[in-house]
Amino acid sequence: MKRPRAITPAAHYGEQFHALLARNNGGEPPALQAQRQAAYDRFMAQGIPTRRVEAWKYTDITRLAEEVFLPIDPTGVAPQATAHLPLCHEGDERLVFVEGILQPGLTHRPDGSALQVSPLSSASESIAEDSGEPSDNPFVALNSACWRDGSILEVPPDQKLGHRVHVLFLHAAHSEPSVIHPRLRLRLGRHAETQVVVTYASLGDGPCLNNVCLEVELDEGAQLALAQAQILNVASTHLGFTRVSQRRDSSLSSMDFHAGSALARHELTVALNGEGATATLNGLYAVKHRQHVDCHTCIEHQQPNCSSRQLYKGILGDRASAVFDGLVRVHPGASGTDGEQMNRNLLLSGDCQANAKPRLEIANDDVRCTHGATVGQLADQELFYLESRGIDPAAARDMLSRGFAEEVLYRLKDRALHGDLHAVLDRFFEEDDEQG
Amino acid sequence: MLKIRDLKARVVDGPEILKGIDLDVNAGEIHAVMGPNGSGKSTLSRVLAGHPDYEVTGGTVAFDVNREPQDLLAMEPHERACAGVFLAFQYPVEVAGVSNTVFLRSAFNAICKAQGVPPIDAFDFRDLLAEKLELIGMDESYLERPVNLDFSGGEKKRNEILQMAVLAPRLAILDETDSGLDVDSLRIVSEGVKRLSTPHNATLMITHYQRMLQYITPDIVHVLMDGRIVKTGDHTLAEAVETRGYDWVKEAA
Amino acid sequence: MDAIADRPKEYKYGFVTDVETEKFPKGLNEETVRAISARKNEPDFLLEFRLNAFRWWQEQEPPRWAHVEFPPIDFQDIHYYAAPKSMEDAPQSLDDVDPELLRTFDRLGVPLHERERLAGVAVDAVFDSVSVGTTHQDILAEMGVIFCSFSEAAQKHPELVKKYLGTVVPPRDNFYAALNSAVFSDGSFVFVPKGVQCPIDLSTYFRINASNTGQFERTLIVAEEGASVSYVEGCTAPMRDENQLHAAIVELVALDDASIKYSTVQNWYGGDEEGRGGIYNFVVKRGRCEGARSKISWTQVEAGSAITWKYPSVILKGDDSVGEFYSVALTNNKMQADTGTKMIHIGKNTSSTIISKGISCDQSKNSYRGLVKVTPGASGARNYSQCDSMLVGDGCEANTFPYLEIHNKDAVIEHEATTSRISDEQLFYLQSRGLDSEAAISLLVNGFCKEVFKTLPLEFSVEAVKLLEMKLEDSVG
Repeated sequence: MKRPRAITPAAHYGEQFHALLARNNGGEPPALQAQRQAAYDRFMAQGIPTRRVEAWKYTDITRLAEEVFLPIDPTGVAPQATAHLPLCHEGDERLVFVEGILQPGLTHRPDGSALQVSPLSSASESIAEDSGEPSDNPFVALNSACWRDGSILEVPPDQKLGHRVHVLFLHAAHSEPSVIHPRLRLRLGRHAETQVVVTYASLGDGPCLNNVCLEVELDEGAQLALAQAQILNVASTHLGFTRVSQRRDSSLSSMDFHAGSALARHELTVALNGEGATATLNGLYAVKHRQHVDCHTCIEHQQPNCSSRQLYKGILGDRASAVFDGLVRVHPGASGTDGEQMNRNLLLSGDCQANAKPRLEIANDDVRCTHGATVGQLADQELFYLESRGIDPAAARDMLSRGFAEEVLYRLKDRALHGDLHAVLDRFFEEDDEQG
Repeated sequence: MLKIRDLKARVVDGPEILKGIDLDVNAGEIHAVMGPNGSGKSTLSRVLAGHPDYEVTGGTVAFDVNREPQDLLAMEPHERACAGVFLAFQYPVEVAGVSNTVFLRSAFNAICKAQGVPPIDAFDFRDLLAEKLELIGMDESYLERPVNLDFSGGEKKRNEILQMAVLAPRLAILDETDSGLDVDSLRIVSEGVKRLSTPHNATLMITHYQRMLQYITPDIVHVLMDGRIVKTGDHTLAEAVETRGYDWVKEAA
Repeated sequence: MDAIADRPKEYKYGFVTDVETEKFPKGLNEETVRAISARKNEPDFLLEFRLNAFRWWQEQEPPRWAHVEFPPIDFQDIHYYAAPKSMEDAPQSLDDVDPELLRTFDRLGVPLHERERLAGVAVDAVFDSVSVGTTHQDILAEMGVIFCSFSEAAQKHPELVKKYLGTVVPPRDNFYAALNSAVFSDGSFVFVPKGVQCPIDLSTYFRINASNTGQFERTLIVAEEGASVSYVEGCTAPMRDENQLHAAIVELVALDDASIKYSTVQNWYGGDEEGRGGIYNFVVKRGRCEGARSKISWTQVEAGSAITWKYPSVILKGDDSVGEFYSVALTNNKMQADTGTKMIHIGKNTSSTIISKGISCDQSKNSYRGLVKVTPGASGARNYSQCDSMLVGDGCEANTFPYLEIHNKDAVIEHEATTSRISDEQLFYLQSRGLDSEAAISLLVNGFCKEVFKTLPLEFSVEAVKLLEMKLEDSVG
């Protein structure tokens, strides 16, 4: 008997969904309730994919069919906790969600900010998953069914925010497993410009299923620098889904950073729907112990003269494993496409596993596309070169490993975030050194 | 050597761009064709080389082969090259996977064959290349690189002149060879073109900016406007255009 | 038959040979399998081998994961055995072979007559399901090299067949491997004993002639310690409106210090401009570098077949063993190709090289799919992969699907890929330098494929270049 392609989710998913409906107690518009129901039905119909499904070939999430994660209400996060909020800086416009619920006490909105924030439940239009092509990832459907306090962040046309926007999704210090379904819609008007950082972090050691859905819409000429920093504790499971849609001449610069979670999976899909749009996707994952990280990217070149640049790098230690699955798809009309995709993996231990699938699908002859992937350890000659200048082997390794990461991180224009992510990496390397 | 009579041409299925060109070029002469953007300069050069995007809608072009005038327009692009016509492209094309040496030797031998001359062997060809490289100040590392791939703008233009030096055409058409060149490259390229000019060949320089004319003094200057040659004169015409602009020519014409 | 002379740009091997053919009735069941085995008078172990494969196959479903589209195949609508009737009394030498058959191979450029043999190449010719003759057997026998049809090997060398058959591609490897293992008809067998360097290239020429017939040949090549051999296969088929299935298996085994070089020039009929007809070429090719310092090298020039679905692979089991894959795949009209390789690194300090060049023209789809796997024990593994695509025209597709699975930190694995095209502007540029369009295309193709062409034996390299030029001229011109 062949293994099935999907497993039916256990009953607690239904309990979770119906508890949510009961809590809302019909307080939501009927159209939204219908959308939630449709999304839930889709989730149940899709089931939990097994590794027989090509997109899940290297990542096994079948345990999620049974494992129980339930939503819980946030308690006991005092306003003074702001001092300890990760990756935060003075001057940020800050939205803080704990267990998926917006915390006005922790949130900071500078006076006169052009950013408009509104609840997703008040949106007149449907949630994007129903308007666009539904994802074949069942957890996107689950998010569509179960999100709470979803938000729309909007920068009006021609506005340039002088400060950065920082959205934090925090998992509180509970010890029992909990689930959150963060949902954000980010919308930049014509020629609007802004930087947004989204952080996923744990305040305690309890396990959490962090099931995120981000929808990003860039109107003509808009420019967005988007960073997602996933630094959840190593008991957590992170399932992220980001869908970006870009119109003419818009530009996206994305940083996808993963250092947390036992299992993290992020699907980042960018549709270049307008001529001259550009997307730069940078990614860095650093995993060890038995962590597993899976980054899927997909760039749809739909229109002429768009360009995309991707550099994803990974550092793997201990028995960690990583997946990079990147697709650049050039549609028949997309003449003048310029696409580059590179994935590099640095293996620090003999027991780690790197899997790479850099893919090109090209249906237009007027394109310039390249891709590449490498897997290896630090180069002996580089180590020797440093040692020959008097640097001891451990320091030389450290220096070269950080240099490997810096090739991606230096692309961040946000210097505060650059420093913060290096600090996260410092902890990654320090623990490594302790283990010898 | 070249006799153009009432030449009319257009982009395939497009509006007419050349509206009746008359031009005579004799051996030993250097001609400059000047004109504002959109006047039809590049179209003229491409039509003479047989570019498939253009179609001739009227007129004749006679090119002397062995002192006999031949119908240039009836020839395939490669036949024109074998007959001694060379176009230095405004935007030289990149050819991945094919080295300059292989490309040049293939072209050189194709022309030898067409002219009934035995092909050159690899060693003699290398000597020939070394000599031509020196002429335009390129080093040997160019030879193994794929044709024009990842060349800078200046390198591409120099490479065109290297090909011209090796293939020794009787009629060289330089299509805006001076555009996109830095000052040093412009000087080197111009010197090369000047040295390649002999009493037995002719050069037709198509130019918008006239930068090359600082280095090469043309015997005859034509001003092309709206698909017609509106004025012909000696090198002083170029200077007059330089100082007084094309509007002056229009009024004078 | 002379009609083909009027359409020289079309498939020039598209003639049908008029020979009387004996076919088994359409359909596949246990009786068919037994009948094939009986017809070949096979030893019992082979019948068992076939039946085991057949029973497993019956429970399987055809795989659909490749990036190709075709209607479901009705496996009961195929003749599983076809042979020229005149072969029934098995010719004792080439002189006994039906002259019509010999003429067929002559027309294909594969002369089997002693007096016209290709210099330095021994040839085994397979016509539909059977081998019609093998040349140079005497010279080879002197050196202890066995080169004969698979059927002959089953009779004369059953111990070798039993020892190696199915050791590289087990009957249960996949759907088509099982199908082949159940019904394989004929193919070539090569055995090069310890220390022998086979002095001439060995070659098999495959020809599908009969209609509604599947071809399921099986090739097994064994090079013992220190032995080496270079083997070449060529394939053609008549132009027919129907699709014909070709599901072959090639197994290579290289012991310590042995080397096997396997080259293919595949030009099965690829269907017409509308995508009618052509061969479904679903082939399992796999080599096993069993011994230390052994080497297996695949070179393929794939220019035909309506659908090509194959991944010549190397299992690098021996320490310091080497695997190579050099491929040019050209698709035109509505052809579809999903081809590449698998390099499985198991031994220590193993290395592999993958050079793949895909050329897609017209409305065709051309995909590279490749796996580089480094198992935990394979320290010091090295792989370099380069996968380039060239697009000719704006209706085609070029895809690259590499899989890298690296489970050892000592590995150094590099993959790179680029895309380019033959554009009208490029052709004009070359023509304006004196090259006619044929010479210009040739220059571009040679430039694009040179790393692969230089690995082919000389006479096949010339043939391959001509083949690609001919096909490209139709698409570019």
